[in-house]
Amino acid sequence: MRYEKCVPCSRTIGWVGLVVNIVLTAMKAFVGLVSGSQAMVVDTMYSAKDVVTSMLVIIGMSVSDKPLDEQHPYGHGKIEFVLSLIISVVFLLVTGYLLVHAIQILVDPERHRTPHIIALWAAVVAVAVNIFMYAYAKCVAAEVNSPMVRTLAKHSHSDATASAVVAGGIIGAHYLGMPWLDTAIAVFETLDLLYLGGGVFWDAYKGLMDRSIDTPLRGKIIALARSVEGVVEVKQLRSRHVGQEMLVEMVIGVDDALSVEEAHLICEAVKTEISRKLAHIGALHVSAEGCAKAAPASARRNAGSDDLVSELDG
Amino acid sequence: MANTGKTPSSMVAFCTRPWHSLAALLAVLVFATFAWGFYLLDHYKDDGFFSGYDDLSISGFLLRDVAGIPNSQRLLSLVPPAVVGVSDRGVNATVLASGAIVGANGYVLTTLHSVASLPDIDVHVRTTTGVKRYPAQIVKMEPKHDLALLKMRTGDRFLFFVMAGTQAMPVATPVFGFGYGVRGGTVFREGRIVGNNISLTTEASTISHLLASDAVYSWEQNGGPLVNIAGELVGISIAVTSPSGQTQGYAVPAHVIATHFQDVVKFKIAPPPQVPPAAVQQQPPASTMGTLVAAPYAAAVAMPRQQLPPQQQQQQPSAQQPASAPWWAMARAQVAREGGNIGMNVAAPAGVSPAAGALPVMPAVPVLAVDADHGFELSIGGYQVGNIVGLALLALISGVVGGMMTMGGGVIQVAGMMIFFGYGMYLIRPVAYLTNVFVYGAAAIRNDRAGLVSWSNVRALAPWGVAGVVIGYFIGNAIDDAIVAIILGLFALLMSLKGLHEIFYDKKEKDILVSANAESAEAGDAAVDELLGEKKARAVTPESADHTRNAILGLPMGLVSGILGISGGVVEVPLQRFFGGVSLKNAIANSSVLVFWASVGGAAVAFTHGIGTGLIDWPSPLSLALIMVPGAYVGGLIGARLMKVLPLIALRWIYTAVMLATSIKLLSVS
Repeated sequence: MRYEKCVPCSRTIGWVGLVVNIVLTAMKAFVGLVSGSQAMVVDTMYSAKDVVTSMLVIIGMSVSDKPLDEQHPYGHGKIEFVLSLIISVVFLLVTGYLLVHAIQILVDPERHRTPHIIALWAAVVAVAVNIFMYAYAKCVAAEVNSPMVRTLAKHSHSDATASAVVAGGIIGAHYLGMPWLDTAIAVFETLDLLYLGGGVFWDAYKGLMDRSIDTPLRGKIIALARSVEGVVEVKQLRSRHVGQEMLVEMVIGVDDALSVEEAHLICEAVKTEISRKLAHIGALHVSAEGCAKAAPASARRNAGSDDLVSELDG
Repeated sequence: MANTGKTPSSMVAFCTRPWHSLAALLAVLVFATFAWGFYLLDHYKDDGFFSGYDDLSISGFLLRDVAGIPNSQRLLSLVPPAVVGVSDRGVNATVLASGAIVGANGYVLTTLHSVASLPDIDVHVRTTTGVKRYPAQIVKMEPKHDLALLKMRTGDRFLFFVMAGTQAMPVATPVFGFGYGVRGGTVFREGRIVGNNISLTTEASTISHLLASDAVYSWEQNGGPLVNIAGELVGISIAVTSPSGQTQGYAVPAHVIATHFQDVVKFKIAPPPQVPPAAVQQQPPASTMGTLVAAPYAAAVAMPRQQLPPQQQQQQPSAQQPASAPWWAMARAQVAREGGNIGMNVAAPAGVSPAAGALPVMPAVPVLAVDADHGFELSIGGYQVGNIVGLALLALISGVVGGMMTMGGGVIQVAGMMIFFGYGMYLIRPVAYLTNVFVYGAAAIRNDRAGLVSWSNVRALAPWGVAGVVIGYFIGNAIDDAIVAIILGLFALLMSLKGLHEIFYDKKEKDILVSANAESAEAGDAAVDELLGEKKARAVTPESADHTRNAILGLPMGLVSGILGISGGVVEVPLQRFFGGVSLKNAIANSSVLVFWASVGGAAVAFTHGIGTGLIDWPSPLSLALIMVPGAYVGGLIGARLMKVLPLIALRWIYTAVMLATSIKLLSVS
């Protein structure tokens, strides 16, 4: 972060992105319907997806940050999964409808119509706006090192690509005498959107099913725990996502000659180590069990942890 | 990301680059995209790209019905449903003129002199179920060309005429004059254009840019359509009696009509006559016609072929036969009996008619006389730039007057729209309500910030104001525009008298003004609170206690606003001051809030009722309001500023003069 201005910049970019994408969604939908461009209507879904994603992030920040209460002792994090699931289902249905519609038109040559030239104009404008947003978000992401803003930049980039493809299709339909090209691109883009939407759905589903966090990350946690002085082994590791956060429970093995007090101190040390080194740890529960043979911690430290992941995963 | 990833973190930061202008440019581009889109929506009929849209135009049917060039026989079978009769509302009222449907949602063009004096207008339309009478009202008048645009009060859709391109109408072009006969039959004659760009002086006025045609031979064709071979509207026929007693046929050409009325009706202007063969082939086959249009009208097109009596199809008397003279005498007698006066175009003795008894062929006029006065102006959303400027200026003046003296702005707006632009009250009312919503909404916010609004007072009165405006709206719809004009003129007169009073009894008024200024806003509130018993018993039904009082304070303003379309501040401010005992400043502030709510109610009712019953279309009042709101708002600011800068006595003289002129104009017109 080299400039003072970067701080307000990083705070406003989320809202700027939301507003820009709402405007783009409206513009693409409007122009798509007026001009009769299938691809432009489908392209709307890209911007709509960004709008929804931004909103989910905002909701995620306000609702899932609500403090624990008696009814929700584990917090409100799962609201994000519930919303994502609902929205991704709606998204998939709409995209699926568009796909069916586009295919129906594609197979019926009589319905091939060259879209009005306004669609080309709108697509070019959308590309320009998205490139602008990409440059902006890229700068913010680099200066404040925010993964969320980096995602925004990535979305702007892919949106620009999608709109450029639409523009190409309309050029083809208009100037190369291929009126079917617009519809073909609509089919192609709906497939891409179905893939993207499927990813969102799968993530939400995994979150709701308390699926464990990714294997590499689990390996990292185990390695971190083992690096702590006094930890003999990681006996059990259970993890799940709640919203943006991870909840982790682990059982470590310590020398059974140690007192309860000493074991507790080791557990605390593990907690400190992990939450210091890893982001998004919502809750970390570490308990200790005695284990018969206490090998020197330094000897175990060098052992690869990857092979342990599978046997320890709970 | 590699292909466009030109912004590594080591590079110049985004905000140090000239991003402001870039962002502004992009915003403009996005805005332009929307503007283009809306333009397309508005003009899709003119855009060659959307040729396949579903339409009810005569020429569309002609093309659709049978491929190839339409002939006069086919015209005769298709055109009559779009030719209507115009009459008074009485049960046995005779058809006084013909008319032509020019918009699918029931817009009818006819001659102004035929309808100007009718208190209620009925339009007779041939439908599948026989002749149907629709109540109609004048939406816009154009006295210079003796034209009136009517809107039938219905949500039905009609077969309509497309406008022909008549800017350069060659002499000898074949045309067909249609009329709605007295007994409901079709009056029809095939003829030619015999002159163009003619000025005609009648006893009443001079009408310019006319076409002359021998296809118009009968009084019954007055107001009816003059049609070309493609079924497009060439003009609205005007039958004129020459000094020698013969009937001469003229027509107001389509491009003149389009120029003057396209702010209300989005006319479909016919493409150039050369129809490319491909376009004809793309038309759906005749067998699918029924599915392309609303069911009743598909049948309506088919109907006249059987119903039209054969002798009427052949009815083509010689030019000199005064076939309609008895009818004319009868119609006149009937209207006279009802106390009206039916207009009649009689050529002035020193008219342009070169030879008595013959139609004026203008040898001096070149065959291709291009009318440069109409249709070449730049137009935005159907409005000529000149009209937009005029309307904005009118709004500005009304705003200045309103801002200057805090009343009378509405009178100027409504009167101006009526007199200078010829709009009917049905269209003016929703426009005025909408304008007031914005202008008085802003004023109410200003007054509230200044702490001048006594909300307890306003809250009790607002429902009465809204009730008043709703009742007023329906009363206004029931009474004639001429009566509205008289009431409006009386109001203007009253205001000019008040201005005079203020000029000559300056001292006393000034005292009150000063004391009102000196008093704090709280003092006004306190007075109201006391009057309403607010202070003592806040919770114990303070407002409902005095319905009569609230009604007296709130209802009249609403009624005036509803009937006349003016803000009603004229009534409310004095009521608040002298009946409510509120100081002038508070009275004005309270009125602004009341006017705002009344206008919201008025706009809601006018639009829902108007659109529901087919009284209005939503785009025309909305776009008119969009033009007028900024002008009125800016005018209000200027007026308020003038009040501080100019000497009071000068302001009052200006105000009085403006109001007096308005009242004289209104009262003399009506």
